[in-house]
Amino acid sequence: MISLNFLSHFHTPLLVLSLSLSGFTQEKEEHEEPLGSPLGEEWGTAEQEAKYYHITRIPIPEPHFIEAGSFLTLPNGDIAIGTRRGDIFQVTGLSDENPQPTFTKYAAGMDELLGLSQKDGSLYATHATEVTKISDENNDGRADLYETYNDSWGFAHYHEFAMGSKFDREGNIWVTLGLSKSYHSWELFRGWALKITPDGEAIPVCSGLRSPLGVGDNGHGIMIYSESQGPWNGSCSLKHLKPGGFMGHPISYNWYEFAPNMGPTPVEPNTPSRMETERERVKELVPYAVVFPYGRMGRSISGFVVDESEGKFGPFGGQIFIGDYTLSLMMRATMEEVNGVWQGACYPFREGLSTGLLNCHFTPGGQLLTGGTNRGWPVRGSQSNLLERIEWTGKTPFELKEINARNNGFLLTFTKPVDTASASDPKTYRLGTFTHIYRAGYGSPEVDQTVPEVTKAEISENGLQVTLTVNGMVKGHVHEFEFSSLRSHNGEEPLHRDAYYTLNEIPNKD
Amino acid sequence: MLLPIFRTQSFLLATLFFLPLVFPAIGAEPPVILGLERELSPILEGKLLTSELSCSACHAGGEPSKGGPRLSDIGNRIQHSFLADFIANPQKVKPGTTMPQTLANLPEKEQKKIAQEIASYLIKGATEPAFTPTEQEASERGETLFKTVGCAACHSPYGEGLSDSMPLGDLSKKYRVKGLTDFLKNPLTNRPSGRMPNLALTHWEAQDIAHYLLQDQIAPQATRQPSAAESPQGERYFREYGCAQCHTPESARQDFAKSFALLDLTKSCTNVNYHLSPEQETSILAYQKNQEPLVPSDQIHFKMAQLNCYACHERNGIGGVTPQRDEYYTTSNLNLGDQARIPPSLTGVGAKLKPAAIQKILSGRGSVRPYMTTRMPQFGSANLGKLANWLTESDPLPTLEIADTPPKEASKIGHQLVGQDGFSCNACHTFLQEKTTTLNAIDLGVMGERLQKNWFHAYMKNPQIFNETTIMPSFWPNGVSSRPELLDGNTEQQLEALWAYLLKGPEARRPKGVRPEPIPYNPVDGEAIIFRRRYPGVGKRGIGVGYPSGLNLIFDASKMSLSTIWNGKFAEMSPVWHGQGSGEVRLAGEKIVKLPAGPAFALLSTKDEAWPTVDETKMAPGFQFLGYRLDDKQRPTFNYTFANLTITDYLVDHEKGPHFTRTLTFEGTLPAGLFFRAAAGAELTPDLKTEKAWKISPDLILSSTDSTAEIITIGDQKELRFPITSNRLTLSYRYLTK
Repeated sequence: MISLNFLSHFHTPLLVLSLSLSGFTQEKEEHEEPLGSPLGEEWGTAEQEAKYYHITRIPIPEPHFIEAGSFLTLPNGDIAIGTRRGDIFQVTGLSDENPQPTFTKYAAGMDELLGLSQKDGSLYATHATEVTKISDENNDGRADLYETYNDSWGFAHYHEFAMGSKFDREGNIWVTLGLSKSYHSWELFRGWALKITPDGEAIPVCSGLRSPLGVGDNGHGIMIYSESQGPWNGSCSLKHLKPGGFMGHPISYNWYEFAPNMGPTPVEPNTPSRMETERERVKELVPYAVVFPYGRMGRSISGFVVDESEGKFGPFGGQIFIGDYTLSLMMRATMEEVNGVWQGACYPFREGLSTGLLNCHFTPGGQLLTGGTNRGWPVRGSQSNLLERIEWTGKTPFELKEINARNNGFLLTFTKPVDTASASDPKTYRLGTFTHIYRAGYGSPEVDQTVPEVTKAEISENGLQVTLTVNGMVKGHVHEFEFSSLRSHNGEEPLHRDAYYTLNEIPNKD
Repeated sequence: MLLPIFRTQSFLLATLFFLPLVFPAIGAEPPVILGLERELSPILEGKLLTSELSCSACHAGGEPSKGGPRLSDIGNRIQHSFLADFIANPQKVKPGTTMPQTLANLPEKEQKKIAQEIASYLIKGATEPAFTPTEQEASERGETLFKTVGCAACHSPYGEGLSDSMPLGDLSKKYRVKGLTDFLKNPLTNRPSGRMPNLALTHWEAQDIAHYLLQDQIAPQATRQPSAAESPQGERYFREYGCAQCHTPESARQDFAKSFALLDLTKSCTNVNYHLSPEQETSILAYQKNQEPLVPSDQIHFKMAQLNCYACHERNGIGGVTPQRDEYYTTSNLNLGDQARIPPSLTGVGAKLKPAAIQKILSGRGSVRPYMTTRMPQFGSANLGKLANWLTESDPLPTLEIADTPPKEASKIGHQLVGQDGFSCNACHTFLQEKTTTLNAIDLGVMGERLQKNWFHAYMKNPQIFNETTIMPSFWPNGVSSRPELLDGNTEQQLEALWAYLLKGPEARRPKGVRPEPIPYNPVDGEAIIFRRRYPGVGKRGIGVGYPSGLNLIFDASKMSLSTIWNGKFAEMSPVWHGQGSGEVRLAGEKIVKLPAGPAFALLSTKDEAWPTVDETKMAPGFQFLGYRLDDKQRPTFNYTFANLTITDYLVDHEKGPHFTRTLTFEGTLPAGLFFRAAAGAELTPDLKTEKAWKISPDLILSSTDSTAEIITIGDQKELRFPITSNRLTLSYRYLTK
């Protein structure tokens, strides 16, 4: 499945040309997702993944209905869950070995709750209408004061969702605002990111968002958000919310006059074009940091979380774990700053979850809690009202842990020492590159494929790293890696055999 | 029959001390292999025996072995006393087991001693599983599960002694609750053969079944426990008596010279006793003589026997649910008949389902019949061989009469055909889990992903050919469409259109006639409930409040106005809690009174100046909503600002009347020309009974302590305006009861 896709990229130039010419007319109105494409093949690795990461279904007692859109660990170790139905539940016992948690409704009545944070005993809930500060003044375990912390954006259509981050390191909440009906920007700041300061003031920070789902720190103190495939987005991606930046979709240019701090309205990007080309023309355009190839790495990436469990969740500490709504799976991502631009890679992690993932969160026990919804948009997972917990079994899979760009190749880091024979053979690593058409039309096929050559593979002394010397790296392209013939030092096959690095910049020097 | 397996030097040394005599266990049962009851040819029976008895664990060639359970950590999982007894004489402890008696040649006393030592070796460092008493309630839940989820397909319910059952032995001597629970949760962890498959039991379900199966356990008595001191020999015996051939720890596994094909099976078997029946011996011989590769249809037959798929599924007239087990197949949807409770026939399934769909089902994630209580188990992909491929290869697709030219906008017409103006498929089939009828047959959203197009065409034309008792009607009786107005009634074209629609799967448009189930939402426990959303006539910043006395209101936080009051039930949420949630909250009560849209307050230069208007979806300029505070009955006090005033707005419901009291307070310096608009409409009239009351609808009287209010008429519009001249305004909204 994945490997077949990999090969199929390299011989479709005619098709690509015709699609790119017709791309401009493909824009679809009023459909939130393009119709007609099947959900797609599975990775087929669930059974193997289960040896390393278990999925446990969390029982939800009647009459509660939990479509989790946001999570938060409370000071006492309980988990707060914000839901699409607008409730906040306080949940005790989620980390137990065989969880049978109790759910207490702490707050209620909000609208599509997609962000939770806390400060000084109050919760800060981002939902469609506003960020609400929620407090329990009489200390009876239930909220009794709902204060509007900020509501300075337009909201006129149900599809205008608002996602909120946790407080960043300076005490700001970042709110990402989806477009009107996901194609327009009819209301104030639809398609923008706002930074809500500790005083509750809103500062517009980025334009050009489309359909954000998930916003937060990338583990390096940098705020990022997850974007969906659609107009001006050839595929889903993690994007750097660089203050002053333009995230790629120009329909929201109309609000620059309400955001004098953002400077003049940027130049309109051309369509159809390439990100690499338009970056040169539109100086505010921030290239997509981690591109998730459509279908192979999800179809609708959503909330994410950084693993700060200090090893309780296995060997991927500090990395981003990100869910997918449509395909009900979890992926990993890593990011690095190269020549002042953020970029990085995505990796398969775990499939076989049973609802459309909206968000995820680490419990104090280091288990990855996932939740979401399966109504309204196509989802592989068939369950509603579902929470699942992924937990590490203590066994470490043989995986490509991280890819880093080098001046003349890539540094690959593995979870276990590699086998010398297979790892030192350049032919073990099959590389391909491609990019997407950057255009107003919906999504993009993968185009401009090239096949770089791996000329050398050097293994580090501890056997955990392999430095690839690569001839033919392409700036601006996604570089895909296939390494199914690699073995660990004790002969294990890699649990997953591919990964995708978005090379916005080639390091000037190592 | 005894099979000669040990020919290594170390084993020869060991056997020098013990004469290779056989002590057959008296009355021992031959191993129970349920697949042998499934009309296999003698050759396939022999093949099945060699796999289930794990011949190839010692003798190269022949069918891959089932192998034994993993024994690493066994001492933490099962009772220590069980292990020695079982090793000494497996068939005695668990009649029908496929575990051979490897100590068969030894005098009984030696058997016990060596078994004890092997057991000691295996449990070294382990902790005897703790005894937990079973609970009656848990046991009863466990019994229900056992008899419904699929355990009873292969095993006899506790104490019932059903024939053709996989023996369980006396589990209370083997397991404690935790060990059995852990095993049931994921049987493949320690029994990777998948013969005991994974039924996707939750921890709590597995625990209940453990309570059920161990209901007669007795608290442990002081018995002689194997001690660590006895184990130095155990490791050697574990190797010498061939345990490691099938079990972990496997470091001691040995290679045996003689391959299966070269064995002289007619000769005496000296070391291992399987207690085979004469028929079983004959079958193994037949298989040894004929190990030809199988054609796909035989592969399927063999695999279904081996994994006992036949216990639940019939295929080509073989297998299926037997009368004595029929009662253990149940459903939550009696309306669908036996199709809802008996797992489907697999005759022709390779032509019905796409290969990926078969694969998904085999991996235990393809269930499309939520009403069927029996669960499709997971056997582990390594144990399934290429079953999915064999099914696809072996079952020919029905031939397809392709429509000359596929209809234009096929899926759009398909959408019409599926809905209530077409064939009303959604009258019986759910659409993306939305239940519409009493039937709730297989979901329309999964068909395109699962079914083969050719099969779909053939089936739709005449469902009864595929299943005599199906209640699925034919919509083309005698080849004539019952909807002649669409696509000229052309059968093939209509089927093409339906197929194009179904291929859209979960992304298909909702068929006409599917109505989401109502989701009532009302106050409970004497407390108010609040829900912020779009309401009729109110933009997205509506705040609905259902009060415990049965009164309800909507506060519009974009205009700071009381928008609507009604009596009775609060709301029905399916328009906002189904699908994408694109609708508005449906008011569930009665006597709905609409109050004027637009901002509640205005600064006017004259009392009869036109009131400012603001678009429904926009925030009224000059206002800022601040939130609300809840009282002890969860009733909100709204807070907002306007004209440098901080305003609180608190409505309290009263059961008598029924009515609200509303108190507005204004903090700050009151500006000149501040007006509050309380009501509007052609029906607005002063209430003749009192001076300070106005009838604002046929059902509702508004009254106030403030008598300065006036009805202002602008064109045909009448408005009730209060000049705000004090820091408090109290209003009462009272429903007329007669």
